[in-house]
Amino acid sequence: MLVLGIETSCDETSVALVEDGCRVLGVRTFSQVKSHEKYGGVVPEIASRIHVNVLHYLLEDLFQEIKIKPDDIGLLAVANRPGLIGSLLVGISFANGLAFCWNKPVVGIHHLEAHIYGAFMEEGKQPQYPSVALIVSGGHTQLVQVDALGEYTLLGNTLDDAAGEAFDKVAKILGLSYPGGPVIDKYSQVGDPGAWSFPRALLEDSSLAFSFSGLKTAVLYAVKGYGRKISQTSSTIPERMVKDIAASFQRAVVDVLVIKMERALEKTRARSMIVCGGVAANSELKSAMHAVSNRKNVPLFLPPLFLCTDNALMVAGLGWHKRHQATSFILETYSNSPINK
Amino acid sequence: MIRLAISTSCSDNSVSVLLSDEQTDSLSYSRDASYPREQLVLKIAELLQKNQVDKRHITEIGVDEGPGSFTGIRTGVATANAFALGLNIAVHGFSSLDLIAEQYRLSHPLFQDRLCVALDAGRNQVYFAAYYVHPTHIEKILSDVLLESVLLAGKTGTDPLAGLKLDHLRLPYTPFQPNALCCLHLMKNPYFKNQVKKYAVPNYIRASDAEIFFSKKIIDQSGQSD
Repeated sequence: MLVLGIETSCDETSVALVEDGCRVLGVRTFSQVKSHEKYGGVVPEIASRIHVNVLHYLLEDLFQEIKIKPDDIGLLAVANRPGLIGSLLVGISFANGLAFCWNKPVVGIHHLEAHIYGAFMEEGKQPQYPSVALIVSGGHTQLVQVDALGEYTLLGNTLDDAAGEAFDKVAKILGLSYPGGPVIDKYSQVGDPGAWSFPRALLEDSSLAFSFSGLKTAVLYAVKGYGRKISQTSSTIPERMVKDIAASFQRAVVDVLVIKMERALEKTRARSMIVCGGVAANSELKSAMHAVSNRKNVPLFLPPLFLCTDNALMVAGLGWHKRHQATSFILETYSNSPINK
Repeated sequence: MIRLAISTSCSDNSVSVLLSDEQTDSLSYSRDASYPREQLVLKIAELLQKNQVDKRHITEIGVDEGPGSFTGIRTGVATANAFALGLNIAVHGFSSLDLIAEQYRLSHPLFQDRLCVALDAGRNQVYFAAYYVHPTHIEKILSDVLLESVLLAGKTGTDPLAGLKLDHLRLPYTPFQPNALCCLHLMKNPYFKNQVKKYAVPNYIRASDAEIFFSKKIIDQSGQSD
């Protein structure tokens, strides 16, 4: 069955055609990064405005390349939770309209569940359960026990900032570009991760919760402290210091994610581990998680780069597995939605 | 020729269908918790089913592109564009101010003069456009603008909601809101033929808060550096 996926939950507008859950026919994704760059983060109203302007053109372009007819499509799948409500509504309205015009069923997809699915979508087979999934992106940082596709237990969540959000904010403090993830990763490769001692929060007990706001504040104080030392008015940080702070900050984030993942693996006696979301593209996190996988002798599922960031492929792929839940219209959209409900 | 029209730029949403030259049917609903924005296509389906219209026979779709509620505009435009792509039909996009002007013309058949339409934009601002009302159609003579400050002068006082007190200024307050039925009427208006396009585009007029804030920040910074 051919599934048309639609993803508009944040700042990526994406449509994709996937057959039987894993065979990719095509995808079109428009990244809005340039439009949000000057604000240092995603502006919900601007994101919604861009979605509504480009969505139909992306689908038209995809159809022209793939040369399929609407009759060939068996199902529409659209991300309807969680996300920016205005952005989700654009995707839902478009999907409902198409489903109605084409007489096709449509299924609402949980964006985070789609990220988990994206980690093993290319493999064409599911990991051994129970599995532990670390979803780490600009909007979310959570550990989830996966007992089967659709069966989840939330093990730990961030109490404040998401890890990706901390990358963006620290990049802004250091005067680096948006989004912060790729640029901090790049600077970290030439910086000293031991140069600065930044806090690793919530490691004392057996908690699987996360907190990154203190780490971000520690970076802010490090930079402010330097400013006071050399001049009250100076706003330029030496290149060497930027590299060292970036590397030390990234190491702190990765340390926390690794320790919590190891704890979760032990607690659940997981037979596989999944790392997904935009931050899963981080080179140090990938290496560290491969090391965990080897140490614990638990297979790691890590999506390729194009499946780390938000995309409609994972939505369409998961949609095929959820085809029995499809209806005529999607009538519900949620900005917040726990993965286990 | 079956035409469908939708208007979702204000709290009262509506969908209308033109069944023949003179026969129309409409369905209105207030957007609230029981009828959230996701319901639009469901309402279209209800209206078509009630009139036993096969959606494949729809030849054109009209949509209220705003100004008005940002989210409402997008819901209507995204749905209209899905119909345009899904059924391979043309879209007529209209300003919500055009729909109000047309509504005024229809309800005042003897009126033939210039007409200004001002729609509350909140924040002490109004969306504004001007028309010449002919017996058979409206003609736009001033495109939509956002007026930052509006001063109503005259001996009758300053409260525009006092309504008929302002009659001598030809500024009556009316409860008119854009609706889909007026959209259907405008689709027949030869003056608005150039509104036919492949896809609808939202007509926000007002920039997003982030853009406004950022522009002011840039202006403030350049003022400080001077």
